[in-house]
Amino acid sequence: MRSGWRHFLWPEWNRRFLVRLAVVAAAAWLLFSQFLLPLRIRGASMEPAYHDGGVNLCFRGRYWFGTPRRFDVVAVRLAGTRVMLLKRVLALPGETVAFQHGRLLVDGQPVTEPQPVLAGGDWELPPRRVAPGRLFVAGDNRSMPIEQHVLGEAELERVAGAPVW
Amino acid sequence: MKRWLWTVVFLGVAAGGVWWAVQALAGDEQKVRRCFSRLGELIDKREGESLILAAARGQALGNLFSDDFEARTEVADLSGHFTPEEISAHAVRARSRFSRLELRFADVQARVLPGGREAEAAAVATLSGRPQGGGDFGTETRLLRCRLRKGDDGHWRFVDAELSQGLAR
Repeated sequence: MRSGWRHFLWPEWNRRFLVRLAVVAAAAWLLFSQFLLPLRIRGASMEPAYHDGGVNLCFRGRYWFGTPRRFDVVAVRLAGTRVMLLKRVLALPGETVAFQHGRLLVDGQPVTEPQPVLAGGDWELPPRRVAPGRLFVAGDNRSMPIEQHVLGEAELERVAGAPVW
Repeated sequence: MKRWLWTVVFLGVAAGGVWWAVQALAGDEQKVRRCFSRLGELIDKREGESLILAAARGQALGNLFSDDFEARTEVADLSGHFTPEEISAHAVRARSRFSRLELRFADVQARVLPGGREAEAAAVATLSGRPQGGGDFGTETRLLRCRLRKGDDGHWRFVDAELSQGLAR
């Protein structure tokens, strides 16, 4: 048993071990560069659901066979997939979205959001129609002034995936 | 030593040689990408930087931009047309307000347009630093879309740039 542990922790560097090591490294690279991208969350715009400094994985296959739905949390690419925006989908293509006294309105009707949001910013956003092929996204932290919050429309093709948890 | 181990060592050395050759004979897209890393290096500032070094960096920074560089940003003061001298002066002034400054680019995408004299590029710029008076500037992240042009001297220079948050507001 003891020799087994020793073998596990300090294996013999033979051809078989190097092949196994190469296969595991290639599989890990493929998994974590193409399917599950490691994320480190920076900023407080998605509080209270996602905290500054938190870690997560972006599942790139989440929308391979469908499109994002309202209130999904999505990762939006900027120039590539190393830095992305983590936002919540609030309105779909063709819908009209607005904020009145901090309350979300979609197509003129107040919408109750299922997820907890940080309120207090009293956001005001005049009604705007979401362009075809785009989503309207924003963070859950509405306690900050709307001018300081990164929100707006993102092209569907720029949705890189969704966080795993 | 076993033969297979020598083979692994040989393959490692060969891969290093190929990598070095690729770097040495970099194509235009690689040169465009290097403009971003050079820009980041020149903006970076460590505490205690001398005035001479600051001036030299400001001067070198201007050389990365074309004679009529156009900037489009959310801030009106930083938008418009600038000469390399104006950019140098702006950079020296702005850097002097910080004791520490760091500009990093990620996801640099470069594409040389047909003809080989112009290129389009996009990158995510992250700026962080500490103001001279203390406190923390925090971290600002923006999407940078720009065009570069190859000069007669073979150097690529920024022609225009647009900074945005990445979402259509």
